[in-house]
Amino acid sequence: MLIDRKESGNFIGRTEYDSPEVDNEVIVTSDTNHLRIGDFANVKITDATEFDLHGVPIL
Amino acid sequence: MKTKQKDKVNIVTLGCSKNLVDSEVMLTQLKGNQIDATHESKKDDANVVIVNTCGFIDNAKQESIDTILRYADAKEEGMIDKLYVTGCLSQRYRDDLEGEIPQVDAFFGTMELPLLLKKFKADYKNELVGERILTTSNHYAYLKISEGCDRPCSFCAIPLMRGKHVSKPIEQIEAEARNLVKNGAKELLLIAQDSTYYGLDIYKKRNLAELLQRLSDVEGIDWIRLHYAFPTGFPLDILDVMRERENICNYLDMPLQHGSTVILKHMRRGTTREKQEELIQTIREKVPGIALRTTLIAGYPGETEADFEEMRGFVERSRFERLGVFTYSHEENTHAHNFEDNVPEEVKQERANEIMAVQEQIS
Repeated sequence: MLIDRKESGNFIGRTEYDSPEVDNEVIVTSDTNHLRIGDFANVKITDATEFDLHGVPIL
Repeated sequence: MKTKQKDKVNIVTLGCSKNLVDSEVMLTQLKGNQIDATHESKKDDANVVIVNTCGFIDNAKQESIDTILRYADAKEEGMIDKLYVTGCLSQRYRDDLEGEIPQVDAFFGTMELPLLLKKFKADYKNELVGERILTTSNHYAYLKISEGCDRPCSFCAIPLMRGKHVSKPIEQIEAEARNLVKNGAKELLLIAQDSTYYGLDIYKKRNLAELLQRLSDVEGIDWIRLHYAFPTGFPLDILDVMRERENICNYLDMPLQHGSTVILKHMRRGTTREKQEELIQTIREKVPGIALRTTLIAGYPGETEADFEEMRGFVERSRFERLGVFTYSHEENTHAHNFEDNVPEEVKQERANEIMAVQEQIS
C-alpha cells in the first residue's frame, strides 16, 4: 500500500486497487518508526469493515 | 476593511479532480507572478478570495453557490476586499450569477485564467505551462491528459462548460509527468472527461495505449492509475499495456451510467448492456486481477421498474470491485431536459440505495 497520511496515531493509505477520495482506505495502527507518509509499505490485513481495511505492517 | 500593502489570495476549490488541477495551475501562475497565494488556507488572512466552482449537478451547484454566498457575506462584513468566481458554474450561469450575487467583483469562465490574472496585474506565463504546485500530498498527483468532451450523453452538462475534446500532446504530458516526479510524485492519476477518446483529435486515432507506454517509461513513477474511461470505442490495446507494465495499476475507473439497454440508448451512450458486459469480460480476461470501478445513475427520465431491475441484474453479474451511484439530476440545456423528470426523488433514492445494498454483498 501507499501511505497517504497520518491521522490520530494511525497511518492511512491505499492499495493498488484504490483511488484517492473515492475508494477504500487501509488503516494501519502502528507506533513503529518504519512507516512514512508517501512511502510504500507491505501490510497484513487483519480486519475489514464496509468501506475500509485494517492492517499491521510487515517489517 | 483590512488595510494591506499587498494582496494575499486564497483559492477555494469545489467539485472534481479536473477542477482541482485548474486551481493548481492558477496557484502556480499567481505565485509565478510573485503574488502571495494559497489554496484553501486554514488561516483567515487572505484579502482576496477566488472560488473555483462546480456546475455539474444539483448538489454540487448548491455547494458552490453556498460557498460564494459565504464569501459574499465576508466581503460585506469587510473581512475581504475582493471576491472572484471562476470555474464551471460561472461558465454555465455567469449572467444569472452576476444579477444574483452583485458582491462578486468578477466572474470568469473555465478558459479565462489569463483574464483572471489581469485582475492582479499579472500575466499568463507560458514558461510555466506544465509546471504545477500540488495541493494534494506530494506523493500523488492528478494529471489531465485532455480537456472537454465530444460525447453526446443526454444527461450531461459538461460539454456546455468544458467545450469540445482537446487532447494534450504526448510530449507535453510526459514533460508534466517528469516535473511531477521531480517534485516527489510516485503515483499519477490520469484524468480527462473521456480518457479513452485520447488522441482522436490530434493524432486521428485513439492513442491512449502509446501514452500509457510512454508514461510508464518515465523514471520514478511507481503507480499510474487510469480514470474516466468511456466504454464506447474502448481502445482494447490499452489492456495489453496495463497487463504488461508493472507500474500501471490493475485498476480502471469506467463510468457506465446504467445497465439497461433501453436507458443506455436514451442516454445516447452508444452502447448496450450486452456490449458493456462483453467489454467487462474482455477487460477481466486480458488484465487478470483488475479492480473495476464504475458509477451509475438511478432514476433517469422514463426509468421503469423493469429498466431498474435490468440494471440491478447487471450490477449483480458484473461484480464491480468499486461502485458509486448518483440519483439523476435534471440539468437545463441538456438533451434529457426535453423529457419529463418523472421518477420521484424518493424512488430515485430508493433505487440508488438498493444498488448500493447489492454492491455491498459483492465488494
